[in-house]
Formats: sequence, C-alpha cells, structure tokens
Amino acid sequence: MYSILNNKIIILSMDILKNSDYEFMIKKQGSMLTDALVFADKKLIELIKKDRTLEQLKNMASLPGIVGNACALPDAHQGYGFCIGGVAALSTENGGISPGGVGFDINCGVRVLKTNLTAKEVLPKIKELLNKLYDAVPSGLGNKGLRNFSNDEFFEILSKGNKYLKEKGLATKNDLLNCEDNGMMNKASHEFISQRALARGKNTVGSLGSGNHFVDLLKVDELMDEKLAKKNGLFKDQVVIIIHSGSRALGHQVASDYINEIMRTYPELVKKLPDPELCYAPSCSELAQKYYSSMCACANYAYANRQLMMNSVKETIAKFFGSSEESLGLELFYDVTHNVAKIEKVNGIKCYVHRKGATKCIKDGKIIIPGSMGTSSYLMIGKDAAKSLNSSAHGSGRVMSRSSAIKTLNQKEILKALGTKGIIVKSSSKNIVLEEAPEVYKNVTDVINVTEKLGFAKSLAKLNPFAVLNG
Amino acid sequence: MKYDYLEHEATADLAIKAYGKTLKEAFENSASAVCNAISETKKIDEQEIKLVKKNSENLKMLLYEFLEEILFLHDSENLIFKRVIIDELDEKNNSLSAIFYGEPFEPKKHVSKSNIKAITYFDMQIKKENGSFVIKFIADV
Repeated sequence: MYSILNNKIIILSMDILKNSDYEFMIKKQGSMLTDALVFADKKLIELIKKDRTLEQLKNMASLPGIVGNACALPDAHQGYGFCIGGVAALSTENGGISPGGVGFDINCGVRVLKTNLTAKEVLPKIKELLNKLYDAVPSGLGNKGLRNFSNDEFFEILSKGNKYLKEKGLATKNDLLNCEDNGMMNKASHEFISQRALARGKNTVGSLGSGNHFVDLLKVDELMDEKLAKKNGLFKDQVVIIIHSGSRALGHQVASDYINEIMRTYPELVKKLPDPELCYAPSCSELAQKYYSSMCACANYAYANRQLMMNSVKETIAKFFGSSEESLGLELFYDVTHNVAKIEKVNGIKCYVHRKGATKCIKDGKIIIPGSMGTSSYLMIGKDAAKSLNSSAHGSGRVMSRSSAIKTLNQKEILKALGTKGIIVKSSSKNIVLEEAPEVYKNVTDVINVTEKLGFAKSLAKLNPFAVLNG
Repeated sequence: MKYDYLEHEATADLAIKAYGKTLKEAFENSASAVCNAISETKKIDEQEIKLVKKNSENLKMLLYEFLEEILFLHDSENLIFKRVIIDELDEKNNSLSAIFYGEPFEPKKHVSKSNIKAITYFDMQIKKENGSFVIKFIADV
C-alpha cells in the first residue's frame, strides 16, 4: 500500500477511506494494531497528505497496548515519532509511555487573560503598550526568567506548580480554578530529573522562549453564544491577551534524557520501531514511572511559567493605565496544555493518553485555539469528543516549513499586509516574522468548522489580533 | 557547501544536511549548522572555550549527544558558539573529544535566531556517499 519515492514512503490515497465529510480512516493494515482516524474536511486532508503526517499516524497505531483509535486532528502535520495534532492511548498495563509522543516542549500550552478594556481604549496607545510588554516578558535567546528562585523554591514549583505559586501569593484561587489540572499535575517529582535538565531550566521560569511562542493582544470580534460568553466574562470589542509557552529547556532536556535512556535500556524494543522517536518506556517499568513523574514536574513548571508571565503582563497593563488589576478586570479566562500524557480511561481501560499538539476536550470544558499572528483565534466549549479520545485541535497547524518561509516570503510585505489589517508586530528573533507568518499556517476557520461539524466543541468567541509579541 | 537547511523535509522543525570528506568533518559541519541556526556565527567572537567529551552506545547517539551539548551549554551557561573542532572521533568506540569556541550571548551584539529545543532521531542518517560523508537530522524548533 506504499509507494517509495526518493527514499520516502508515500501513502497512496487509496489507503484512506472517507467515513464522512469530516472523518477519514486508515484501516488496520501491516503492523497497525488498530484503525487510524483523521478528522478533517476535503481541503485539510489534502494538506495533511502533503507531508509525512499519515505515515506517523500509522506508526502510532502500531504501538503495543494501544486502546481505541490512533487519531489525527484537523490541524495535524508532520512531527517526529507522533505527528503533531496526534492522539494515542496506550494501556498503563501492557502499553507504555512515550516521551516522543508527548514532545520535547512538555506542557507547551496557552492561556487567555481577560480585561474589561475595549479595543477603542487600547488602540491609540498600542505601540507604547507593546513596547512595555516586550520589556516586561523576557523573550528570545539568552533570556533569564522573571524571578530568581532558590533550589528549594524551584523544586516546590516542580512538585506543586501553581499551587505553590498560590502559597507564595503569586497566584489566586481563580488562577487555579481556571487552569487545566488546577495548575498542578499530581505525582510530580524532581527526583528523577537529571542535573543537566535542572541546569538547563532553572533560570528561565517566567520566560517566553522563541519559535512559535508569543504574547498576543486581540479583541473579541464576534460572540457565537452571547449568554454563555457573558457568563464567562466575555463581551464584544473586549481586549484579551493570549500567552503561548511551555516548559522551556527543562522539558526539552527531560524528553531527550528519557528518549536516550529508553534506547539504552530497551535496544531490542527500539530496533523494532519504524522511528526511534516512537520509543516508549513499557508500562509498569521503573523507567515509565520515572518519566511520568518527571513529565508531571515539567508540566508544573510550564503552568508556573505561564502564570508568572501573566502576572507580569497584568502588572504592566495596570501600571500603564494607572489603575488597579481588579478595576481593569485582569483575570485569567483559562489555561490549557497541548503536549502531555495523562492517565485516563479509554473504553474502560486505564491508559496513558498522549496528546501531542492537541487540547483536552470534555463536555463544557474551555478550549483555546490560536490561529496565527494575522488570523483569528477561537475560544470554544467542549461538547462530545469521545471519538478523538476527548481531544480537539490546538491551533491551525503548519503547512510551510520554516526554511521554506525564510526562502520564499518577504518580511516587508508580510508586515505591510499585517499593518493594513491593523496588526503591529514586535519580535526578539531574526526571521521569526517569516517563520510564523500567517501564510505558513492552515486556515483556522477550516479547523474550527471541522471541530464544530463533528460535534466535538462549539465556538464561544472569535478573537482578532491587533498586536503581536513574538519570542 | 558545508551544510544545507532543507526546505521540504520538516514542517515545523529544522531539517539539516551536513557534508564532510571525513566523518569528523561531517560531524563538525553538523555542529556549525546548529550553531548558526541559533545565532549568526559571523557575529560571535571566540572568547571562551569548552572541552567536550562524549562516549555513546552507537554513532547516531554520539551525534545526538554531541549536538545536544551545544543546546545544553547555551541554556545552562548562556553560551553561543562560532566554531566547533573535533580533536578525535573514534568510530569503533563511538566516542569523541571536541573544543567549542564562543562567548556568552549578548542581545545587543548577537542575532537571536532559533531557540532549538532538541535534536531528534526522526529520519537521522549518517551515510557515506561517493567517498564523502552526509549527515541528515531534524532539530525540533
């Protein structure tokens, strides 16, 4: 069922069955242990076929102990090991946990901060405010985090995430309530994290990083459910801020350490895999327990990272407008994680549910789907996503590589086009405007449409950006 | 050409192909590609050196751990590198010793480019083609 071209495996279109207008299936074949589902429309499936997403999805479906289907969400694209926008549940008894199935940026995620400011109030001063925010949130290379924590404090962050920040007066009850996992994954421990990883991450708590990480200012352009939006403190023309970052180099090194440790401990297991990045620590092994507790610690670090950056954004806005945070309505809407494995039941079986570039989607749960620096983002409310193992898309999904973007796009033209839409950009890194240009992403509206048509979630609000701070 | 950043091999990440007459040279050029992806090497001075020794299970793991050291030293000590010279590469024992030349990153002096998260094993290749060596790998950005 494959075609080999230039050493690349090409999946033929005849492999893919159309279950409905928004769902495609690759039937179990070869080494696959289950069927794989792709949630996409006819346009998105063609984009997904262009890179090696489907090959990676089939590899996911071949992992021992998989329960339910291997899933690719509408924003799926090629990654390493698992595809991005990929979800797979591996039994905690006879499956495993895969660091590559979580990704290097453990608990990369987004949070939305609400204000009671309107775009009309903010736009006349936006350049000045963006400069202040640029100074307030460390970004790009060589940055230090917002606070220096002692070793003991750092370990508390790893163990308890935002629960510890609340004890220190750096997070409120509302901050915990409106954060996935309430800002703390249980069973977290720094005990099995290497000194190298701790050294890589210690100084960067409260920093954005670079790549696709950002702080964006957006206005609520449209409310799809006014009653529910009001209940959630949203109104038309309201200014909201999205913060996107993860566990920085701590998470990167933990993932790397455990991938290498699995390769050293289970060389025969890794040899059988079509891609070493799929490697997993077998369930019930000591290594699986150690990785899981280290991954939870990185997730807690990431929650704290976004919390500290949000605090800094709140302080900056309050100072800028000469008012208090309370009177400006600066309050967390919600925070979601994109890259994590969670212990959940699938078909009655306890599993490590790997979501790599995917958002947890449960009934009435809040979902944040950012578009790009030039397109809309969406706030959604979960309905029924049992088919995708309770998961939804995490963004619009890339279609163009970073190298292609640098070679083919023109920065001046992009900034001009953004300018005509009323969007200003400030960035720490060279080429980031090219690498993250709206053109490199799929159409977020298509992703949202598929999510709604499948009944996974419904849109609450559409947000349009007007100021972008890239790492 | 010592290395290329490939356009069509990775969607969100950075695909790199490095070349060398010897394996040692291909390893060095892989390191140069990573250093230059982080910050423009022409603007980096050689103020500090780091001695790096690695001993791994196989050649791919050696490449991985060698390149990861660039990321580790950047994140833990704020260093960026202009040049990486391998003193010795022992293919039989999968070991190497190298010297990294660079300096601390200064936002006013240096160019901030990609914050590379990790090297990956996905599609990693170390090949001998027509008498010279070609290394391909994907870095997670």
